[in-house]
Amino acid sequence: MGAERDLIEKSRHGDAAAFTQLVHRYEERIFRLAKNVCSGLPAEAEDVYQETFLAAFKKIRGFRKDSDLGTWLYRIASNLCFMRYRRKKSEPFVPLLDRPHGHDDESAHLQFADGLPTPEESARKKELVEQVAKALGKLPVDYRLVLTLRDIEGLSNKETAEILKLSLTAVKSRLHRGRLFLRDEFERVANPSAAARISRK
Amino acid sequence: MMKLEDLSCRRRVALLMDYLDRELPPPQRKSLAEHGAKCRSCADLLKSLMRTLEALHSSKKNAKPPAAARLRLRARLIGP
Repeated sequence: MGAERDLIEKSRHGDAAAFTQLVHRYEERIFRLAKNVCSGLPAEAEDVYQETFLAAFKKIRGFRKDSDLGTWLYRIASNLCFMRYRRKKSEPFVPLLDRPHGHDDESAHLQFADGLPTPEESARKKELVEQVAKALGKLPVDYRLVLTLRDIEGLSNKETAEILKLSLTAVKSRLHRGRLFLRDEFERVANPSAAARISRK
Repeated sequence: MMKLEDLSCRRRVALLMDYLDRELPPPQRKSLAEHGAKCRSCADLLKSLMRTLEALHSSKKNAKPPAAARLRLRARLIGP
């Protein structure tokens, strides 16, 4: 952390080489956020990635030394994503699904699976990543941001609320509704006939 | 804890989400796990939510910015 503080201090005095070292530390997570929120639009994701660091370098004098740089960068990137998409009126409303859908599996297993993936699992994961991108793209930008920060980046509800300047209740509400929407999308892909049956009920 | 069967769907979903996020205190967590072992509806909902989270977690990998984008950014910061 000492080294990071030093790099921040140098960046505050306009040292672009020092700032580039900070970019190196954080660019993967910022690009990932941009890629997931600008789902399916790689050129837009790259714009958000570039603009985030250019804006951060410009504003780093205003960065509070007791803050977390990662959180600050996430906030800049999230704002850029939000500004980019809030103008688009075509984004759908996300209904809260009140009724759980049934499955045929009898077992009630309540733990996450663990262990290294086999090649088949890796192929399945690639497919999952594509499904996630497609499903995320159907959500409004504020839901995409909450799901990406919470469930992909692994931040807490509190951190997500701070970054997006939302209340904890608002974060949880978007998180739950977003997850249910995605679950429904995945179930529909996995089992289209059951999904059609359910939607007709 | 109130019986899960007596809760509204919305409340039950919120409880299952808290379970997934490990935000339930241990006694409630234990009761919910016991309930899930005998209630197919809750277990199914939980399993499908777990698959959803697993899919989201999978998106954390392989997201390096393209080399050209990285170079472009550095050129804009430092100059050519």
